[in-house]
Amino acid sequence: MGFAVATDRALLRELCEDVLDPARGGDPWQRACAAGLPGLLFAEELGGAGGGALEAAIVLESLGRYLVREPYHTSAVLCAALLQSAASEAQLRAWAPAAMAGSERYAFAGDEPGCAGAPERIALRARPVAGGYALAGRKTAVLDAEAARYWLVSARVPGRDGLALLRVPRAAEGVRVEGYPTPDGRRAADLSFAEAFVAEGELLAGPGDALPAVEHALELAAATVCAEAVGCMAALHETTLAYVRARRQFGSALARFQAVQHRLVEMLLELEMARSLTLAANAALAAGAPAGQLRRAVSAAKVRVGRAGRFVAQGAIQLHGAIGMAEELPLGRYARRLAAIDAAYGTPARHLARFAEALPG
Amino acid sequence: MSDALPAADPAFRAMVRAFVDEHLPADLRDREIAGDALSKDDYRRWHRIVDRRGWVAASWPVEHGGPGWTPLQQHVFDEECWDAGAPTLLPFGLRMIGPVLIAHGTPEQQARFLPRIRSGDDFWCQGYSEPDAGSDLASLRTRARRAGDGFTVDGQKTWTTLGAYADWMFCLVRVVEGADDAGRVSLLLIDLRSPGVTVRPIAMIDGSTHEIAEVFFDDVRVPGGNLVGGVGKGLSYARQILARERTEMAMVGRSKRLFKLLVAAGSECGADGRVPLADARFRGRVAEAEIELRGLDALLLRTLADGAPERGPLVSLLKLKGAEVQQQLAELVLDGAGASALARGGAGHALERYLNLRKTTIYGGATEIHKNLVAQLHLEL
Repeated sequence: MGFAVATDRALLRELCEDVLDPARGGDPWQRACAAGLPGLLFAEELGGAGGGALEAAIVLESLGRYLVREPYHTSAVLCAALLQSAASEAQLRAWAPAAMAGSERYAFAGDEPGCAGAPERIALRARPVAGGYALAGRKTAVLDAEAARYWLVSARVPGRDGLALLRVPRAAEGVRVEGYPTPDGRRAADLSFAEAFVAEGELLAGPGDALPAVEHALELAAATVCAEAVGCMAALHETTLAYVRARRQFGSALARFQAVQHRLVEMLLELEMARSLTLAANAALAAGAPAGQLRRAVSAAKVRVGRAGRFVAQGAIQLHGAIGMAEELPLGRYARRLAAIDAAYGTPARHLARFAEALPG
Repeated sequence: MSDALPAADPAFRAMVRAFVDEHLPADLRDREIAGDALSKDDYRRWHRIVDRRGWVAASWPVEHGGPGWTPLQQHVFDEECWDAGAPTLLPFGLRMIGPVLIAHGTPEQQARFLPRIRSGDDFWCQGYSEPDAGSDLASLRTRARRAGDGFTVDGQKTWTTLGAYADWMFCLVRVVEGADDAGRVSLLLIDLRSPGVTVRPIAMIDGSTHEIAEVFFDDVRVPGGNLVGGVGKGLSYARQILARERTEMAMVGRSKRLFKLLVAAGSECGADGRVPLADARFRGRVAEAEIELRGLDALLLRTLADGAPERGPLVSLLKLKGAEVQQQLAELVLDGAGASALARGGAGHALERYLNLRKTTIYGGATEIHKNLVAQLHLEL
């Protein structure tokens, strides 16, 4: 581990800017692994960095800025948090080393057709059988499913309230994987389980005890993916600043036109509002805020990041003019990533509704 | 720019809250929350209560009678005062000319003016805008001619907030040294009780006649000792005042109070028999406004965590967003009031407040000017 994360966020930021910069060439996942980034959220006694939401947000912002497509968020944030909070000590000792090294990646298989992201509506069944469980049901849009060695699958055990969480090897029999590209250049998959056998030792927490861990990990996922969006917005803003300084029309740089200047200031304001609420949400997670406060902080960030992302991406495209519409520039890739982030871990509309629940009347 | 939020200090907040709860007179609080116009004596009454506790000059150094608070503590104090419904501690003396005198005034000026600002004996106003000089302060025309060991001032200031309550004005004037001199913009302290000064109220769109005044100077004698710093320092001091003022101008405290009002009024059954917040569309707008307010609050805390709140683009962004949020909330209060906004005293002056707060994107540097500033100074466009 090259850093003591909990004590030095500035150093972590520098490390990420260095390690994740695509200008360095080669495989960014390998560099992230060499720097110990997949171990960020694991406890120090396991050999991890003992980081939390604020540290994860720093890594995610860099990933967003450089538009790195590696499955860091799904594996090293969401699934690491699930393992850390739901796996037993023995499981963690056995599983964490390869996860922290980045050699075994994880994906979270949560969403199902019709469950609209709500973990309490999970229907996939895990029926106790000799030596383990038989899984039957479907999961949809599992991000980075094919890149993972294991999936963490949420399920219901018949006769038990609550939720179970099982570690299912990618290679398990009785599972059909239908992978497809997502608009942001990544991949997702739909999974069908037909009485797929999972050994007893792959059950995390108790058969009905995983719901709090899943809910909390999804809050963390939503708050940290907001930081990735902030990184995307910052990159779009910088790119557009550079473009309007260089591009000349009517005999002067675009940057000289007040309408252009004001739009860039408005974009900066949106970016900073998004950054401020993202920081507040991740700080609430780091501080262990009570559930009600945490939900509102995360939802506020997700709503505002969604709106800011639209504004910044549309502004960047508009100020570039026709070239902004061309795939040759990275603007479209950022805009598509921002749209994908909107769709993940609760849309802004769903988060606005959740945020508004606390209002009286 | 800071990527951290400062740690909360609940003990400090509790101490401030206990003081305000105990000492804020209920009648003042009720009129302030109702949105009634307050008199000069009302403002002075609360000012003196806070001064007796030693907190009124919150941003001043200890040697000038400040409490020695950090910017974050000053902010918490403000927030608690807003939350409790205290009248504003008028900023013109305490936050604007006071700190300039502390930084640039002579020992005589400091000894003469600072104690009376702190005690509330002197109320001040700001003399910047003129009929032909609004955002463009460099074009101002009020002249101060050398006369003996002092100045003779002629000209007009306008849009002077609470000019009618002020004893003194810190005034930007053009000091003219000779017949051909165009004059250099300087900061002059003018006693508004001097012969030749006329203060007239201006009727505003919200119906107020006490808030804004215009001030005429007709051969007004001002002693030489009332010039702050040197000739030509005026714009630099004015910029310093504006920069200091901007974190406060985000007016997060006022917006939080407005939000409370919005939720309280919105959850009551209106005259038309409907509860505004029961309407899904209105509820969504209120939720979005609350998110803006939270974002503004976090933005402000980031500038305070920086330790140098008067610098950096965040401060201008704070002014821009703070102004918008106040307007957004006042608009929602008005919409929530619906038809009852037309009744006498209309739903806590909802329409008057809506109109009054249109000022927030104009004063302290209009929104367009702040966008120019951020573009030029921080985006380097």
